[in-house]
Amino acid sequence: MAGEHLMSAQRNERTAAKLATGARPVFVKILAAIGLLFLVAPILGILSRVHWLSLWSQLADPAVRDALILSAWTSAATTIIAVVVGVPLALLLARGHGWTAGFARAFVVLPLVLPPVVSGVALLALLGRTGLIGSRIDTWFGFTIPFTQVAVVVAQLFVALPFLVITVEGALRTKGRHLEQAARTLGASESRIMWSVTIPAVRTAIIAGAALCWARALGEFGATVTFAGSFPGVTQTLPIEVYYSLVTQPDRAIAISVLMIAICVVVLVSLRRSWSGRFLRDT
Amino acid sequence: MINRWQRTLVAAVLASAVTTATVGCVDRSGGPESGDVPNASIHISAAASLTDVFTVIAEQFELHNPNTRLSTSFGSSSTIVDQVINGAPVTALATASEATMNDAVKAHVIAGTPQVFALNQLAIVVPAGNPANIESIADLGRTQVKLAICQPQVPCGQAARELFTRARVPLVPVTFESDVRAVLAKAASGEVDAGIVYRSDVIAGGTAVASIPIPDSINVSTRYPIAAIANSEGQLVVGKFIDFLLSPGAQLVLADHGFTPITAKSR
Amino acid sequence: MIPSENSLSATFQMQRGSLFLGVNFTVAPGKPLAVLGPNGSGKSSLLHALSGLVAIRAGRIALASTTLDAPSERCFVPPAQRRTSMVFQDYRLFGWLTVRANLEFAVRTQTRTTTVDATDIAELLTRFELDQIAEQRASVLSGGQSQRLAIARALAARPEMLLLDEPFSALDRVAGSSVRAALGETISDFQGPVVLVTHDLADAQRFCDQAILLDRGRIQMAGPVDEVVKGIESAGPLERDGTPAG
Repeated sequence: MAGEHLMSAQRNERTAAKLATGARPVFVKILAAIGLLFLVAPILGILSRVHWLSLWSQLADPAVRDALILSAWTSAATTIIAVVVGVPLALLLARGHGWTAGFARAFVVLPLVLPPVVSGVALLALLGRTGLIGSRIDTWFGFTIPFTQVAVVVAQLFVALPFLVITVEGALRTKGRHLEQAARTLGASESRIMWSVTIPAVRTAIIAGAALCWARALGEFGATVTFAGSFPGVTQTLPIEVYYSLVTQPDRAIAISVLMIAICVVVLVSLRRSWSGRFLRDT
Repeated sequence: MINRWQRTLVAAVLASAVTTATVGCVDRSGGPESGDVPNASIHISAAASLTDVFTVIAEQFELHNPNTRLSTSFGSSSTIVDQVINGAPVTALATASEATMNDAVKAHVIAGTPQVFALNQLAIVVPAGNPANIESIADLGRTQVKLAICQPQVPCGQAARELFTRARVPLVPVTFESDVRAVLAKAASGEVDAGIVYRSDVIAGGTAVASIPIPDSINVSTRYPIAAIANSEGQLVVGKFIDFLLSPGAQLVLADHGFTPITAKSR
Repeated sequence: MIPSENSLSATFQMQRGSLFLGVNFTVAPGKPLAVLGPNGSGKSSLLHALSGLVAIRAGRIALASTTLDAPSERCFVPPAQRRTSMVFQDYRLFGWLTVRANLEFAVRTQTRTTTVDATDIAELLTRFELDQIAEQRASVLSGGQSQRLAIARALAARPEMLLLDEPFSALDRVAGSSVRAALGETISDFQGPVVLVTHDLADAQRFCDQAILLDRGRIQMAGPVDEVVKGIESAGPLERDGTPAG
């Protein structure tokens, strides 16, 4: 009897230890492996096509360099603008009630479901030379947005902003409110709460959202070709360079793709490390 | 039979999913209510500039051959060649240049010899009303004129380059578009002052655009070859379709759409 | 009971979700009030109303002669201006700040200056046994350390009223005893009204003089804490639905 008790006690401990780390049944592991494989395998596929010897010479091509520089700064500019306007938007959405907030929330997700080409058409209809606002800008300032680097950033911002807003809004709902209440009872002014409590409380999410937003902006293609067009060094970003090279210079297209994969992995993994090291423990 | 329909569907989906350049897909397969059993169904992957004319010709072909189902899909020549090389299930390929067709020939995906069935010449397309007052190709060299051409990798881009060299006009576009219909769209929406397209595209653009003539002495023409795909079913029907394309009736339709009919001599 | 000059007097109704809360009580300085009752009886809502995190629907909350919330007079003092500190069950520390910076945050909000009185902070750090970990980030503290810091932070804001929402319920026995010791001193030294929400009858008796028993938003019993506890014990253990079992 005593032995049985001991065994069942050990069993209980094992079960408890499993529950503490979260149970991982076999079927969950199998499905998860399929999911992961589905994401990893195509990357391996593209790596198998890489001509490693000519990789550097492909990337050293001035056309690739121009596209890289353009993509680097436009995606960075997009991310900065997204943080500046996206965090306040997330704040309002997180605190908003009723139909206006619901309405706004629907519009925030809309670019996620719109085909990027349609997003580009929508931007043309608004900011194009004959667009609602674009035509007035043309008349008053003699400036048209399409085919400029401004258009590249606008297109990227339209499709990438939702990633930041959604990420930050989620964090504000789960983390921000309780700390704001505590700060309020301690006598902090609303503006102080905003800068010293709310924003620090969700800064992990701001970093994560900015990273997602940046990655989406870097990969943006459809809205950019439609709204900004494509001109080397001006509006021809890395993804457009990939698409145009795909048929005539497949090696170059693959080389650029590998470069983009490498950039993304480096940036996202290094951010991930900093989260798990310090940020994740804060609540 | 269902298998074939599925193949047609897969071809259409493949052709349209891989590229944003695809203009449209017209499935000519009649409903099963017609009762007759079709003896073949073919799928033609064609250059974007053929979108309208092939839709009409395919309709007429089916009228003449009631037992045949013909479906079409369209994209930039380089893209559709790439798709065929990568195994897109199509029975025939029609490109906007012999160079792109040669890529397919070199990849051993073509059965027999490609047959040229039409010519096309370049045209300057401007938005309706010609806001930038373009009168000749020389005006396109002005720096403030916004010009769209095809990217250099596709036939219309190469032809545009050739044209500007012959005309001794500096080529300063604001954008290189992925295919000729994208250039047309940019002009039709008024985002650019002018674009270089094929004459056939100006007709397809309807009243949203107008065209400025290019003197024959410097104009560049491109030849449209068509070929059956090796190891595909329905090659017999493709042969019939090619004969139909070269018939006076179809050549008239091509001429109506801005193409230059092929004469026995230039074949 | 005759309210003293600096008493908290609360007579109000409010709605929170499906719960309708209607209460009437007074808390004098030095006579802490325990709020007892099953989950969902409205204990936390009551504290939220007192702190100003939620507005009441009718009635009046006043501290001494200052009205804090009275809808009929269109009077509502926002939480930041109430000088009412609240200690939460889940600490709600600013995890990215050091222990010292958490205290400085509270000191600054009250003095409205950028200079912080170092002796104040040092005194609190010592009193709550936090001086060894003053430069650690609050996110790495243990439960006991966290709650001691939360209490210290509440005091750093120099409140005139102290509200405690289940301050021990997230703590194990050892951590609980260190926090209980710290809180005992705090409450006996505190000059203003104290309200302690708890489900633990022993804690109520240890820290409070008065008690009310809430059930479904209504006061079921009120009076000296020992009498209320005796009344609850004779009725049997508290059940989730509020009816005494047995």
